[in-house]
Amino acid sequence: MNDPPERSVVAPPPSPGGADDDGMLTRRAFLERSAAALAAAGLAGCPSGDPPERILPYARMPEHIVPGRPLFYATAVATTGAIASPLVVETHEGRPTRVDGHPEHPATRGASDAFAQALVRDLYDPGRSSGVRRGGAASSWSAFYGAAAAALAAGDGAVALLAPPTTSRTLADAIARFTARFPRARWYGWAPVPEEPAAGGAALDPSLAAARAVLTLDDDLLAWSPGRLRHARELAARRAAHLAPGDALRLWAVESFPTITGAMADHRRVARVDAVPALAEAVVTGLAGGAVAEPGLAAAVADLRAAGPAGLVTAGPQQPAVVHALARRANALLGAVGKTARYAPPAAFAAPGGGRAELVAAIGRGEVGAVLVLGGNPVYDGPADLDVAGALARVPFTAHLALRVDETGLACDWHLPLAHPLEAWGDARAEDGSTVIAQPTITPLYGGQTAAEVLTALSGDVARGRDLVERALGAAGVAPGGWDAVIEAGVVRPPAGLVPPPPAEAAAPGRAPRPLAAPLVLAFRPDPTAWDGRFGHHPWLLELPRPITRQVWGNAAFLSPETAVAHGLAHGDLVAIARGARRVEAVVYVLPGVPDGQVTLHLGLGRRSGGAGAGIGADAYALRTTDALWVASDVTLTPTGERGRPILTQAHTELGEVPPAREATRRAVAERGRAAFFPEGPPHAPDEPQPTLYEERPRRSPSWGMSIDLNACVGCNACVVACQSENNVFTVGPEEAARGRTMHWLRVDTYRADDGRWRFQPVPCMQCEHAPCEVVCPTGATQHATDGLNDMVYNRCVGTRYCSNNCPYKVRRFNFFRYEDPAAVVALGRNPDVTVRTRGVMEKCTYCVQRIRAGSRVRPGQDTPVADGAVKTACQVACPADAIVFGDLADPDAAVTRSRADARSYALLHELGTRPRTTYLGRLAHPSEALPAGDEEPT
Amino acid sequence: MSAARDDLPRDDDARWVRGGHDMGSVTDLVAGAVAPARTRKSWLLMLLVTFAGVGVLFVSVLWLFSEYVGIWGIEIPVAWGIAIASFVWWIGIGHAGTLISAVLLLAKQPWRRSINRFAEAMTLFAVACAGLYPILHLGRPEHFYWLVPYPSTYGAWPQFGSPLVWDLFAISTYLTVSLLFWYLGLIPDLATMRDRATGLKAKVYGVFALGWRGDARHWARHQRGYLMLGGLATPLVVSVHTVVSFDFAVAQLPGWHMTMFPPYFVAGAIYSGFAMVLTLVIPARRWLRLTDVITDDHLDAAAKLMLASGLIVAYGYASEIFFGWYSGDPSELSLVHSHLAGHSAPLFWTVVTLNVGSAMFLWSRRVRRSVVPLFVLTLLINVGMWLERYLIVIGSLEHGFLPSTKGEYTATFWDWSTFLGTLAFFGFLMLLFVRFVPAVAMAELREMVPPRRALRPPPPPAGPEVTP
Repeated sequence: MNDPPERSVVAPPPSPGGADDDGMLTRRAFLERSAAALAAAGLAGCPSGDPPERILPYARMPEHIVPGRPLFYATAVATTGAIASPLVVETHEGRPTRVDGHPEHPATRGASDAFAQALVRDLYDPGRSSGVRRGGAASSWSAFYGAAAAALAAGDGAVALLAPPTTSRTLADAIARFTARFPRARWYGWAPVPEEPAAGGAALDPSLAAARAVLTLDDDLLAWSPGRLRHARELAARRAAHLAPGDALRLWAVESFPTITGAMADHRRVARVDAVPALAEAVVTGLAGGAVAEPGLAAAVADLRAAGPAGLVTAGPQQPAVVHALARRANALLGAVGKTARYAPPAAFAAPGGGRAELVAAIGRGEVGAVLVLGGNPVYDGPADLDVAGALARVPFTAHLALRVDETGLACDWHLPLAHPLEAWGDARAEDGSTVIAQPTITPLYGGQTAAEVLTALSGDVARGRDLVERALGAAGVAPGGWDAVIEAGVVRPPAGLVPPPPAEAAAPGRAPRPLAAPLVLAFRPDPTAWDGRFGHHPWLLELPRPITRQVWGNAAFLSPETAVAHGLAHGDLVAIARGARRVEAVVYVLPGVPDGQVTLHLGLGRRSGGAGAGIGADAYALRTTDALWVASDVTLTPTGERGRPILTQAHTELGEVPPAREATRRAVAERGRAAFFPEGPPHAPDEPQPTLYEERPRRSPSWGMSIDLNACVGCNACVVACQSENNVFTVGPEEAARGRTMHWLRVDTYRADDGRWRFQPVPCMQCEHAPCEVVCPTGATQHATDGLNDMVYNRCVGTRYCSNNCPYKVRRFNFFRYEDPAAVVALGRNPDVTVRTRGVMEKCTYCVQRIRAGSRVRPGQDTPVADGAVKTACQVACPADAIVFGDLADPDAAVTRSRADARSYALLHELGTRPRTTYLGRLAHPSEALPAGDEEPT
Repeated sequence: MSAARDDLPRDDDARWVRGGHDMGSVTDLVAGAVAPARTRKSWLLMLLVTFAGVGVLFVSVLWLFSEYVGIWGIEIPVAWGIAIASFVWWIGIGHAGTLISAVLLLAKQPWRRSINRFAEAMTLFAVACAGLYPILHLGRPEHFYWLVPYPSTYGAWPQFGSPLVWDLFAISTYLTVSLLFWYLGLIPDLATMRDRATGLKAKVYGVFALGWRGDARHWARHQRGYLMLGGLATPLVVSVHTVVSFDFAVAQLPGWHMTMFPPYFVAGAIYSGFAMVLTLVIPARRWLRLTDVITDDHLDAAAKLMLASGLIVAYGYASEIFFGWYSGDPSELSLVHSHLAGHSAPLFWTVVTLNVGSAMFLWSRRVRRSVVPLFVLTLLINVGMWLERYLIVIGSLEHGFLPSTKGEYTATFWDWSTFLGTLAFFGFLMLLFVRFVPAVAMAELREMVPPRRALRPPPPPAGPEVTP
């Protein structure tokens, strides 16, 4: 560059390559090329090739879409079985970010469960398969359809369809058309964990709305029932504090494992799972006028008889048919049939081919030329004695339609990506019998298709998506003209012709089998959060503390303290559970409330390929055989001598001298009022004046507060996942969870009272008026807002963690690492209104401040105060029992103010003078006069 | 100084030096230990060992800055782990230096002269180790300066209500004053070293000696300045650990929320500080061949102070339990129960045994003057005081208020490597100190011995008289 000037003048212009005479790059050319290379690198980062659509900037606004304003779509998803929850999906700029219950549908009334709340993370799960695969290699839908047509032709249409139970008319219609096209096709179905227990062709649909005395026979109504949301709501309503003692519902639970239903019961009788039939028989005998020997059971029978048609007896899905028949007999004796106990044919379409055993047998006979597995994971969740994988291997053409390449996907020739429920058109039955429409809220991320679409395409039909739904339902009587309105509402009212036929008459129940003689039985149950394994990959649900056990990331061999001692086992030991040659190792969890002589294993974990859940927990399916689906007597426990550690988010459940979760009997409250809730000393009310050194701040409107009714809370965890979804709360994984670093802003504390009954207490941030966290923060990163919120300023936080140390409620959570999921797709599901926290900063419940700000944003020409109920927190919306009330404490008419003034209202750790904004309403027990409250031992 | 018979202490001061030293020999003795003819192998070996430990610290800190505090065993509810326990421990150790230098100076205790330099150095290095932790344990250590009031363009200011901000001021003040105090006392000795050295060494010592010539005016100003700094430093002895104790006492956690924490912490700090002084001095005086100036009498005196502060600590334990019970507060009662016979009982009783039990041996004059038992006791007390801080910081956080939020803390490899790293760092600095800086204040010692001792060593029959 130091050329003499005269040479520059005579020199030819720089070559297009930008090199000077010496072949060196000039500075300018170098910079130009650098910039070009940088731009090219940016291009290379984009998906290969031009996108197929023309891309338009938002200069031309898509209809309805306003950046920053969410849109809501009604849809429906069957989360744990065939019966769907009507839902509303919130989308931001075309991305679903949140799911809530359909507020206008009687099945949900806006509430939802943990599974529905977790759907968004499921949609964006990085473990989802991204395309059609053949034998592990990438392929395409057209290749599959070509190969399938050839296989169907070659096999003369002898194809087996294996599908989980469905209530979708669209799918049933597609199957019908498919079988019409290929008459040799057979439809097989299975469900590892049934949803609707059926006896004599009728399923019980219990209704607590008018019940006064309810006896559950090993039936977890509040978790393992398609009507769980309605049951929680009705239970809360029937136990409301204002009800007279003679009118309030009394719940009696017989159960073989501590469940949330048992925790809500006024009397809980522990029974081994195989002892329940005999108890059911005793109940029927008693209701028929006979004598009942056991005092606890006798009191239950007397209470039921007194309730008459307001009585109800239900039985759990894992109990044999005879128990269901006995329960039906009991309800008939009570006169409750058609009132509290409604019987209807099962909602799911029956698969005419039978179950997996029939399929395996048909494959063995060489009758099957092709198998299409339409969802589910039959290789993983099959009975251990049924070699589904081996049978599939003998079929020349197998395909598996699923969200991820799981155990079944690996066993099939073809893997087909299933459209996620939030990406798909469909329909289903809600638990109240209405038909609900599922509409996609996003284009399938990975080109997935639904089972109905695959079958329709294989039938040679070109219809897809919404056409299939309209065709199936239109044929069933929906006026085609009103489709847009139907889809917008999400519900099809059942036309007259669709009312289910009355169920068959109840046959006389047979004799109940005697309890097994074995000293130890193995009982299976679905995992409370991974369910039958369908959520065994889901980090939110795996890290969701199981109700009562508080375990995350795994399952355990649950033993009663006595049984553990008898087998020489201690909490945390690794034990080998064996049935003959079948053997799994699990960590021992010693849990009071588990019947003696029983080891309980939860299904759905120990996945061999499950993304985040692979290798987590013990695979109970490995011990489950066709003849022992729910209980096995030939089980042995052998200590391995090794130690494991169940990962618990709460290790101590004793209530202590001052119970944090308060309870009193209705009688005591009637006699002593507030004092009944305070066994330790004089009672206190939340807003009693307290001495303080700080300036008294008057409550100006708005002063946000929350009241949580422990009498309504069933401990279902819906609020926890709702909070996680709303506030972008990260999961931390099993190693970090074991170190006590879970991030949930809202936790459900669980205590075991001296009488053996469990109490739940959701604990969000208390938003203390005299917040101990605020005074110790050295940088002022946590501040008191004018509306009473205790705000976190994330970007001012340096992470001394002093605030957490000084928080008596320990509701603050710290980002010890960067817990963000590195997969970019997960970020699509985050709430754009909530800051994503980085490592090294503290975070906590904000009372959903983004909702408060959105709800109280002053619009031009509008300065009216925020109406009560206009701002709802995510946990409040999700709660099926309406246990959470939120609002302005300065408004004397607000629901939260009235709730706070209730005689049951109290503040947690009141004596510290923190003046929490979150308060609790004590729980009411309603024990029978004939018995002391609590667990009863078998006599 | 008055003249007296050789075999008897001439006055109270002189009895603290044995071996009939005079000004010259005592200077030879101390300076000889600093600048031996050749570097001793044992020193080199220890330096290498501690340097390896400094490497461990360096790697631990590097890894910490790369991964952040998640590598430690902290969690919710135990959000402060052994880093904070070690911080309090180091700060406590850093107390003995200023106490010996300042308080005993004002109290005119002559025996402090033999160990004050050593103790002050120990203080500086201990505070340096302690000072690492508050920054290391931050979630975002790169923003530590947000605790400092500086004119930020955002107008953001620290929250002065937080004890952590007070901590920052207390510790930085303490470090500054301790450093000044140490250096001011060192100037005459550095001049001595300059005068005895040649070449580069003389230049380096000369720079640090700030042109000290032993002028009477120098001495007058030096003495006045030293006394004034001593007066300034005295309140710091009380203030630093008082402020550190506020970190806990201001919080309302059972086990932290106690008005007696300031005196209890200060006593504990003096206790552990003296224990550490003795732990270091006992082997060092032998290794440096300074038994003439650091005598059993010194050990005895230090041990007496340990006994006194140990008794205050014992009183602290007793009143902690008593007031926990007397408060009637259910959370406090539950913690008392946990300490006496529950989850934290093994640790609590270990702490009581090590700290109170060890102190009881110090009632015996024989023990106070026997090197080996005293050394073992000081080691036990060092461990005991660290465990006490563990109990206060972690034991209280593990307990908490609600039964549901009880926690369990396990320190990780990186917790331990950081702590052991600071131990090595401390040792490394101490080794450099004894090698390059006079470990005993020569100038002050010279005030205690006669100007010259003609009979010692026995002069050659016709030798010339030695001039001082």
